[in-house]
Amino acid sequence: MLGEFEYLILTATANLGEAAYGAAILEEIRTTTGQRRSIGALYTTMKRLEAKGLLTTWMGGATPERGGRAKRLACVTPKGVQAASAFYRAMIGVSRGAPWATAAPAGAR
Amino acid sequence: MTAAEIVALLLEPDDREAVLGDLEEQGQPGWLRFFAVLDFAVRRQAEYWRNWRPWIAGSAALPISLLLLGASFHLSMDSRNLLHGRALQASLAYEAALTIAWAWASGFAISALSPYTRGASLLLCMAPCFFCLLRFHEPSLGSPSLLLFLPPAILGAIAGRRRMRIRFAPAVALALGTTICMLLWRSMPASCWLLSLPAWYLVWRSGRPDEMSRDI
Repeated sequence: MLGEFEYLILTATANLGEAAYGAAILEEIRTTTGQRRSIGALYTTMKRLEAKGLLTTWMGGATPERGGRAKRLACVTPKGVQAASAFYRAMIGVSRGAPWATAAPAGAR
Repeated sequence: MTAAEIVALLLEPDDREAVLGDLEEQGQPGWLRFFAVLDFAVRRQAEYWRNWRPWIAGSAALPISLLLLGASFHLSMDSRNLLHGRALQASLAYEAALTIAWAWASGFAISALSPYTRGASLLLCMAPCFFCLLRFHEPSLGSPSLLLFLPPAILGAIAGRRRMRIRFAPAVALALGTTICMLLWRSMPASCWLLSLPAWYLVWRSGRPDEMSRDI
């Protein structure tokens, strides 16, 4: 079973597609969840996901806005897709009937 | 060079490149970059130390370093005695060959066992060297005579760092050659038998699959 941050990284990476790399993944997580995570936490978790075979990373080209430094690009593996799908289904399943899942969103009335 | 770039030297080259580029892109101020890189370096090290390998490498580095210091000292003493005609040339040849083989195999084994925590292993290896150098007072021998093992050990560590793997046959030849030399060198201290372990580790390692290794 994935951890919450692992799931966020896999989802952000999948959503970003070919543009998935460190800073972009952090920004995607920040804009979608409002959570600000450190770059150290991101890369450490990405390494763990890579060791589990859920993510692959490779070094891309350098760009001027990065001071001529290369990006670490990432892609979710088929095994990562399976793990993320299982996590998503588990969260949906376990949330069924929970008050926050059934209640109308605040301000909807 | 900024403070963040200095701390980033603790990271592997690819990690350093990626994290400094990301921070540059995010436009973070200098002190925030420093703490972000430091946070990353600490997390990375913590991750490495969750494995058993750094602990074994670190535990082996200290006693092996002490034994190699002793071997270097004996080799220097016997070389000096040879100059005065008081030692057999064959014995000295065994001793020199063993010191080189022990040092190279030890450097390789420790470095290959845990390449990402080499800084800690290096510190544990150098601590006895500095201690002995400070306390070494042998008028007929210079202090560098204690460190004869360092060049082959460093070469071994570099090879191990690159995760190069010795093929089975050369690994067995090294381990067997070392063991035979040890049997032939009768005046060898018994504690030196521990120094044969790294060479046998290389034999064990040569038979294991490792995708990142390149044969030499």
